[in-house]
Amino acid sequence: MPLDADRLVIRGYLLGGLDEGGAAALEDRYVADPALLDAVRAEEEALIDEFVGGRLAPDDRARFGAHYLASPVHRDRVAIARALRERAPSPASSAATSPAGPWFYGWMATAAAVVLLSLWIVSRPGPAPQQAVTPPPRPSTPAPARPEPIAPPSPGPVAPIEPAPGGLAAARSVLALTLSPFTTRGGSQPVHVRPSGPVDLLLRLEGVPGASDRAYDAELQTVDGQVLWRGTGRAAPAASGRLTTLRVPADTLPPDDYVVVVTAAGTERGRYLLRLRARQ
Amino acid sequence: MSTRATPWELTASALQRLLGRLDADPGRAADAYEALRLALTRFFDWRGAHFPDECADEALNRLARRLDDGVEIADLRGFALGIARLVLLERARQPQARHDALDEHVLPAAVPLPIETGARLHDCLDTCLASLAPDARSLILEYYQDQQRQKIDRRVRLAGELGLTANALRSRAQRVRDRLERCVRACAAGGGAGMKPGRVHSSTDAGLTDDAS
Repeated sequence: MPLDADRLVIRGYLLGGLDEGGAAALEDRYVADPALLDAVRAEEEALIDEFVGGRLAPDDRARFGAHYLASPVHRDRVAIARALRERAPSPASSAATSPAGPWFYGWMATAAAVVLLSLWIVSRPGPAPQQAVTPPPRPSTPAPARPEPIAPPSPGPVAPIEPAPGGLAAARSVLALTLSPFTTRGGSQPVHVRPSGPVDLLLRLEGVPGASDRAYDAELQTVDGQVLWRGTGRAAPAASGRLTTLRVPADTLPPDDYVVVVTAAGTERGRYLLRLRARQ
Repeated sequence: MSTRATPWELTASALQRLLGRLDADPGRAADAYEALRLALTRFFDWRGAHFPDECADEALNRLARRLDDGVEIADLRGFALGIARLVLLERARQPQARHDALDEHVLPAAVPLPIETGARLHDCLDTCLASLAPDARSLILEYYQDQQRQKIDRRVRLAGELGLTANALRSRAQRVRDRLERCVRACAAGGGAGMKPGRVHSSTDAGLTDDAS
C-alpha cells in the first residue's frame, strides 16, 4: 500500500532521509501538535515492526540500520520489541505468578541474548550490539555497478584473513572499492559485485581526517547492527579526499548490505554503506 | 569535563510560572507540561540523543529559568524547541562526557552470549514485567503478538475489549512499553557489572592498513 505524503515525510525523518530544513519543520509541527507527535510515534512503531518482521524494503532497511539503529536507545527499543513479539502468548503471563516456565526458555536463547546485548551498551555510545536476526528475504539483485580495477595490496600489515580453501595467499584477490559517507539526503548507493573465491575488500573511505586523527577504529556491521569484523586504518593524508583505507577479509561475507562505521577515540567519524552482491 | 557553569536548579516559583504559562487551570497545566515534556523527549530520542529524558528535563529547566528571569516568550513551545536544539548541540559536542569510560576490550561481542548471561536478562524482563500492573502486562504482551493481518485483528479486538479507540490503545501500549524500556534498561545497567561478553573476531591490533600508499 503506498504511503501518503505525511507518512513518507515522517518515515524519512525517522530514517534520516530529510534534509535539516525538512526535519526542523516537522519538529516544529509535532511539538505543537500532539496528534502529529502520536503519528510519528506510530510510524516509528510500524518501522520497528517491519524491521523485526523482515518486511522493510532494502533501501529502508539499510537506512534503518545506518541511521535509526545508530542510537543505542533505538537499538534497545528494537530489541525489546523483538523480545515482546517473540514471547509466546500465555494467559498465565498476565497473572501475578512468575512468568518463568518452560515456555519462557523457548525464546530466551535468542530474544534474551538480543535484548541483553542491546541493553548492555545503552548507557554509552559505541558499536551496535549483535542482533540475533534472521536476515529477511532479499529482493532480486539490482543491476551491479562496475567495480574499480583491482588494486595492488597495501604494503602495510593486513588484517588476519580466514584461510582460503586452497590455502595459498597468492590465490587471493583484492577488490578495491571507494565508498562515500552515508548520506541522509537520499540517492542510491552503488552496488558492488563480489568476486568468487578468497577475496579481500580494500575499502577506500572518502572523507576528511580530523587534524588530530592518526588512526581509526572500524567495524563492519550488518544493517541491524551485528558486528562482523573490526579493524583499524591509518588516517589518510589530509588532501587525499579519503578518511582511511581498510582491508577487510571477505571470504565468507555473504551478499548483503553492510554498514562500515569509523570512529576515532570513541567518536564517530563516518558511516558508509557497502552493498555487496554475488556475481550472476 | 563539562564546561558548563554551575547548573541552575529549578525552583518552585519558576516551575509555577512555567505551569501558569502553559494553562491557567492547574490540572490542565500539569497535562500540558507532561505533553511538552513528552514532545521534547521524543525530539531528543529521534535525534539520537543518548539520554532523551534527561535532555528534555534540561530544556524545560532552562525554559523555566528564562520565564523566571522575566523573558517575554510569545510561543512557548517553539521557544522550548529552540532551547532543546541548543541542548542537543551542546550534548553532541561532548558525547563522552555523558558516558562512563569503557574499556575497549569489553565491547559487546559479535558472538552469541552464553546462555547463563541471558539468564540475567530473564531476571530483568521477568522483574520488569512482574512490576507492571496485571492489565498493563497483559496488554503489552498481547499488543506485540502476531504479525501483519493477525496483529491488526488482535489489536482491533483488544481495543474493543478495553473500550478504546485504536489510537488510544496504541498510546496506552506505548506508555507501557516506555515504562518497560526504562525498567529493563535500569535493571540491565545495574546488574551488568559482572557480566563478561564473549570475544569478537577482531583485527584491531594486527589489521593496520597503511593508507599512505
